[in-house]
Amino acid sequence: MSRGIEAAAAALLLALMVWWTWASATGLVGYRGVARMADGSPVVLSLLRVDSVHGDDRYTVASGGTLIDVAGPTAGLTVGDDVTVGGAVSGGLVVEQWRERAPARGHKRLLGLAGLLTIAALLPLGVRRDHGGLALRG
Amino acid sequence: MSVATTAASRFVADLVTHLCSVLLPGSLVRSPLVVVAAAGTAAPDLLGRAVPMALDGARRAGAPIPEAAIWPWVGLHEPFGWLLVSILIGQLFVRRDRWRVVLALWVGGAMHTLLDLVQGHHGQGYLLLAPFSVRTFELGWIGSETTVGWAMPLAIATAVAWGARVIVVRSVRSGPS
Repeated sequence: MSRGIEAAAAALLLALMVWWTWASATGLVGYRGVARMADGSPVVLSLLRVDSVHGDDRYTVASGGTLIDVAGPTAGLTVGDDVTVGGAVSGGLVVEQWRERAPARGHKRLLGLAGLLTIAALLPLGVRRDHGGLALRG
Repeated sequence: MSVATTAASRFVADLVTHLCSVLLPGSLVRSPLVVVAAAGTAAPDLLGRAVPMALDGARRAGAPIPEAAIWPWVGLHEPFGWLLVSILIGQLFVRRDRWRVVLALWVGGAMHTLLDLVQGHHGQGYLLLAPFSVRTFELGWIGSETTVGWAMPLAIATAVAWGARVIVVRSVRSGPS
């Protein structure tokens, strides 16, 4: 594999990450554009964390640092819950039409940690250090 | 149409099931590339999910990390991202192994994306063609948390398969000469 391919891959990867930053900042991807959507626009806020609860009929969900206000019943809802919310935009907030809890997200995160430890333990079985870099075993 | 595409949401993948999807059939293959493919199937989540989650967690804990520092990592979960990352990881290997490693990482990445696509997120799928298109894809055959229930049986089945493999290899080695 030539240095040219390596340089091209690095340049394309950098370009991709710059594009993703731009697309997230402008709301092309992610949730930053939700508050600016036209009233009545349908929206699904998928698997977001409840950031705060305000009274009986308003709460805020977070995607990274992006906060989205939701109008909907808060009974039984607590900060830190993972929820998917379907609704429509009205006046910069999302009016909830349905909500689905995701109670197994914590387990998924634990499985992610277990998977990380597993791959860390397995890698030395297939890969070793060699002069000039890493090498496959066998 | 919803503007809320999945890329910045918290689709936390079940990494154990992802690993088993490679390691279970890999128990039939005698090659160090199986481990590399397993790393390849973990890479989209490690780079595109775990890193942003860690940055977000540090940010919420008060670390001076701008929100924009989280976004670029998310793209590494999608195919164009892991294809490029795999090429760069391949550069860490000696020349004779590079392309084999890259191909194994790509196989792992493809397995990851395939398993993710099977899940359903109410139409909020994956940005498979980004940055060329922001159209989202998902098959929606299972719920986003369904694999949590599969993880332990799959892990046990994988451990049994690899245990059997070790026994077979040892018995072949110590057989009549």
